[in-house]
Amino acid sequence: MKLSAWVGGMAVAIGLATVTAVPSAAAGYPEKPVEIIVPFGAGDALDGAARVIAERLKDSMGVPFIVKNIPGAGGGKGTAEANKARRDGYTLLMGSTGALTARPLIKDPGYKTADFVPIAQLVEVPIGLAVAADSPFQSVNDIVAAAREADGRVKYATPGPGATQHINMEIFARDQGVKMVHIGGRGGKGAVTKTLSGEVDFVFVGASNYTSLAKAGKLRVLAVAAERRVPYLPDVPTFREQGFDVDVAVWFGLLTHSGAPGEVVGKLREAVSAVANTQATRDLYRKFNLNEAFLDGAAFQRRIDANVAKHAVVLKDIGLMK
Amino acid sequence: MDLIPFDTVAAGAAAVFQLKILSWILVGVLMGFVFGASPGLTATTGVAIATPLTFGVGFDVAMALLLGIYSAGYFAGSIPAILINTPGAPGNAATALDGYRLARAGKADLAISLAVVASVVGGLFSIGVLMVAAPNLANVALAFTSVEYFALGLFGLICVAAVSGGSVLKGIVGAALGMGLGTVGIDEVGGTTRFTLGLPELQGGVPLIPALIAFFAVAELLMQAAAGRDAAVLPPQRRHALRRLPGLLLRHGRLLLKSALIGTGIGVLPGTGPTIAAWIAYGQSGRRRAAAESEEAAASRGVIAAESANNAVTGGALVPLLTLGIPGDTVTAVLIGALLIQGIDPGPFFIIENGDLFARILLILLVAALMTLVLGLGARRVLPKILAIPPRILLPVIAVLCAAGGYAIHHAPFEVGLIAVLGIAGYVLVRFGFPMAPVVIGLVLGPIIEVNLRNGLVANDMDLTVFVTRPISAALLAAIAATLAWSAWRARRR
Repeated sequence: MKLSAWVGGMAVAIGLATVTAVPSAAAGYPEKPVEIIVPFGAGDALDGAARVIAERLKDSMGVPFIVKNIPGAGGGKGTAEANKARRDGYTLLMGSTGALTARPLIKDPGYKTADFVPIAQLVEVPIGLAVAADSPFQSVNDIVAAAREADGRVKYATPGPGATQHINMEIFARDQGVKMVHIGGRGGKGAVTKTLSGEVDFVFVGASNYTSLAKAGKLRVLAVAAERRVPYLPDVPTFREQGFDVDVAVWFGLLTHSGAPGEVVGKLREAVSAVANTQATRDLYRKFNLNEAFLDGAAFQRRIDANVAKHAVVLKDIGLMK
Repeated sequence: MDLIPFDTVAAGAAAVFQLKILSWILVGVLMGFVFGASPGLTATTGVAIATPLTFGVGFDVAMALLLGIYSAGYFAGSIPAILINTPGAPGNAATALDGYRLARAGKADLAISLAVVASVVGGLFSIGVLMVAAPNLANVALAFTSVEYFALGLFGLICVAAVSGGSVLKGIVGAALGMGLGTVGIDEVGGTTRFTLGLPELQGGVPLIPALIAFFAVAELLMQAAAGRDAAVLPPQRRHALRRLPGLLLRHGRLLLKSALIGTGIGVLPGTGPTIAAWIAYGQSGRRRAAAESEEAAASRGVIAAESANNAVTGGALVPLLTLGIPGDTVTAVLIGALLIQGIDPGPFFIIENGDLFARILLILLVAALMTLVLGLGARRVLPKILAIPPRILLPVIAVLCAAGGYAIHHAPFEVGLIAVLGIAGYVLVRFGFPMAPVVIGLVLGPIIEVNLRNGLVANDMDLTVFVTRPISAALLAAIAATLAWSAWRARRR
């Protein structure tokens, strides 16, 4: 085969790949499968939540809801992909704090927070602070005291730089007037591993990441950043119980492009609200250690706006903001 | 921990050896063949897609399906690697080097046979290790901090010498290019974005699967297309008698075990996987020395090392999953969700409290490995017929397969375009005599080396001496120094 013919063939293949179906009227929505982009890898907590809701929506709306994982860049890559998709409501985004509320502040990642309109917040995972079993730290106070002794004495791990967990621990450190060293774990489980291996002093990630390790006594969870104690770690006090005003969770919710027809968004909100508030859905969430935390579109939008405002201040402080 | 008591194994066998469960293992293995052998799809994709199907079924059926995919998926990618120089998954890239060489010499049957048997031996070895030593090995996983991962990454670079062909210098340049490509995207230490050319798609870095398709398959396609009518006529494919296989394997017994050991060990370490395992084992296969004997012996060693190691990752990667709840590779990360749905939170108590389920997992893996053996050996006669198709038909088909593989990753055109661009770049490099494997190795190991060097320094107050005062890191660095000194000495003697 000639080289030119080969290049031609490749060009045709690229062309074919970009051709998509003609847009359909909003009235009949949904007429074809709906895609849910998960900007994290398969197996992530966010992925679990998406697969639960996809199964439930398939039953209620009568078309397949296909979960598509596009991991990379702390959720930035998949979110950018969702922004490029056709604005017809057939591409949804399983969004989470961080990728949606912090990434656009750091550098133009190919989308803005306002490019997406919320359908509903579904679940949240409270962030917990844990140390290895042989750590000298017994409380959050111990850590703050150690950090006060010298800058950079205390090291901690989160899923990665610019992640919600990282940003919120930096907020905490600033409020306490201390400086700690951050190391990214390339994901929540990686951050837990760094604590178990003694590379860092504590881990600050979603508490669902280490329930079994905590039960086995390999990790000691010192605090959860939630309003109330979490059901699967009943003995662990909240930050507030220890006198610190920290209440942050990683939240997950469905969004679609803000250019989607209002009628379609309305239908989606209605359908998601109906399936999210059933016992069957809650049971599936519980198996994944996800806390059910339904917020309708308007309330979810307020939470997103509040997060963006808060993150902007911190990111500037720690030098990550453009 | 003691070996699992006999009655637990007997009870597990009673649960697993039922027509229903065996059928589901077979379904999983067949799915594994499809996902593993299709460029762009991997065992990880297969397990992720199949997991929601298990929401409503019991533990045995769920594990039969998912572990079947896992077990066969890591092997199946070697088939297109051998036949058309297109690794079905990143873990099979090292197999392509020697496997494709054998296929073009008319020995595709031999290459596939070796790949199947090495895979199964590697898989079984790792299952044995998982069974006997899981809790102890969990501590090994925790002995690795950023410092050790950095040293391991450097150690992996040794294999560049093994894949550099004629010129080690060109190999090093290739690896440097690959490591350069590996710096694209959001920096995982500082959080800033680097060299993305304003393309949001590159924020997550240069994705490995499109790069592999481009550098192996597309570069080779373009070489053959450019050769046109002058292309060499391939010799007819020769059959390889099955009865000669045991003798051959016995001769390579030490290599098989060594590679299985490397694969299992890499599997135990979180954040690694079959790709790194295969390259390290390939680098340690001693194929250069064997090359003096015959080309076939050298190529056989390469295939055996790569496939034994990448399949041995399966049992290894289940070690941290089932003892700490931390996945050893990307497939086991997906398995966490599948286990949670079954009401099992994998962690330190899993084997102690659920010995029966653990026994069933081991038995399912065993059955899946044996099924892979039978199906793989069955396919070795049929599949090489692909090579009898005239190039003017085969090459365009492979080109479409490459484009489809790129599209399959995210159903987005970007990866297809990326494959075209990188493929042409790869073609130019090959034309100038640069081997492609070092570029891929650089792309795989570069980020591991960089991130862990920086994290290791940050975690140790910028103290460079940690790399030699921590024992595992010091041993790995010493091994690198010894290897370099040895090859320098040999080069001088020649």
